[in-house]
Amino acid sequence: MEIFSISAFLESLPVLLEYLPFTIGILGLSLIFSLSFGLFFAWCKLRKNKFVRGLVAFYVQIIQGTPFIVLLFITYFGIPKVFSYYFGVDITSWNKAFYMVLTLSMFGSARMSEAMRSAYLAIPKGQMEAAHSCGLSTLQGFLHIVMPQALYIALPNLGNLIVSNLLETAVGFSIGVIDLVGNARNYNTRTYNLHVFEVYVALALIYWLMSMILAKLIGEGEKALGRRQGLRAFEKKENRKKVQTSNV
Amino acid sequence: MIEVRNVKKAFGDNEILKGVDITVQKGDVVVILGPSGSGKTTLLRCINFLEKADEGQMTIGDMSIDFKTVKKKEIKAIREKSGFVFQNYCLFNNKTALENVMIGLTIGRKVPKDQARETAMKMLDRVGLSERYDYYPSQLSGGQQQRVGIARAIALNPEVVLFDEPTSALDPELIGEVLEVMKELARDGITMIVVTHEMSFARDVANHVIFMDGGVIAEEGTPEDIFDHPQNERTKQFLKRILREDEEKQHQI
Repeated sequence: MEIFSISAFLESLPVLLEYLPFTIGILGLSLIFSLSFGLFFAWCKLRKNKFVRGLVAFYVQIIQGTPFIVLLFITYFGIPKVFSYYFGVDITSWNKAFYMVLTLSMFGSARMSEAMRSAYLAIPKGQMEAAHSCGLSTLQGFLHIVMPQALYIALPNLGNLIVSNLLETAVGFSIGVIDLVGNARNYNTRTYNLHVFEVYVALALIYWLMSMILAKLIGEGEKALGRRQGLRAFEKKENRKKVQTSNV
Repeated sequence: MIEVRNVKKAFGDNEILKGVDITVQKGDVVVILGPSGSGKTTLLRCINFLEKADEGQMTIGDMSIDFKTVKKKEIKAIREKSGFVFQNYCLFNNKTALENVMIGLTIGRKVPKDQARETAMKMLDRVGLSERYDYYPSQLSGGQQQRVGIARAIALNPEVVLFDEPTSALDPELIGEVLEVMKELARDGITMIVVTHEMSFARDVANHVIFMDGGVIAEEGTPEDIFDHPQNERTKQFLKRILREDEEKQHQI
């Protein structure tokens, strides 16, 4: 018996990839919610109102201190129970992907709110003051001046969290979601667990490639934002030269 | 014309402005002097609503407001009538020099882009930086950044430009270029209120000097009044100290 069958590995790849769109879908949905709720939580934590600030800080801390799989079990088993008790509605039959997206969004938004808040705080107060004195409203100042700069600072952290959201999607199989992992397990069962090693290596490769692509996209975004601030490191060589010679 | 009456401002228990009155005629250059903590900067920031004064009235051009009851709309309108130059420039880091000057026009005032661009270029030309219109703040020296800051403030064609220690953050050799631009604006008849420690600027350019101490105006008058015949004991002490420091600096150089 060979230790690693290349042919079994190659054979499993197309079967595994069939569920790639599903995982991407869950990731995409959870990212939309994570980013928007993360922004909202960050905004709450920057309010003067102590109650709002404390409440959100407490919530974020709880979520951050809970392992993802525990959080998933709580939402998956707990929410239907609460619903049937208080509203008499049975939602156990809802698609399991719903619970997956919900939990991922809770998990992601809590962490992202921290990255966004600290990035916002890193922008000097004078930027908004200058925007005000130029006749911009607070919203205009935020959209045109503060956010682009804060995004640049937040992006490396946000990027890591986006990748971690991707990796956490793999936990979905534990409540029976058929995504990349669930599908791989089914495939193993169908093939009498003859090539478990090859199948999981193939699966790892898929996750690894996706992480790489995400990281690359985020890196490009960072470069583009850096260039928009004239940061030297991101400039094209000929531009850099121009600045140096004209400063003399 | 700008008239500020009885402005009061406290941060918690700390009373910074204890009722200040100033009147600035069109074309005036008013310099405010005073030791740190005397409320000069706070006064300027209150006029631009970067700080909300607790009490007082203000008239700029044809608009009068009461600081206590001022509405958001009025704040926006007053800000359009006054430009602000910050001590640490506060240029928008994600905008080029030209965009920095343009943004108040295009977004704040909804001026069409082409027109705003033209105005902004003229302003950059006025501060001698039209060649660097596409540089980001991080690519400009401190003096250049402050000149862009001045261009940004005058682009909105305000009734008055407020300067908050515009040269304090600059290296000594860069102060001159900024003062030069300010002198030119004064010659062009732009109304300015300047908080500064540059005594030579105050003497040569100002037509009215205000000395503030402890949240009130201790003394005011023409530059000759203040520099050559100060009446107030605190003014005398302050001037003596500043002039001595200036001299020491000269010796060091």
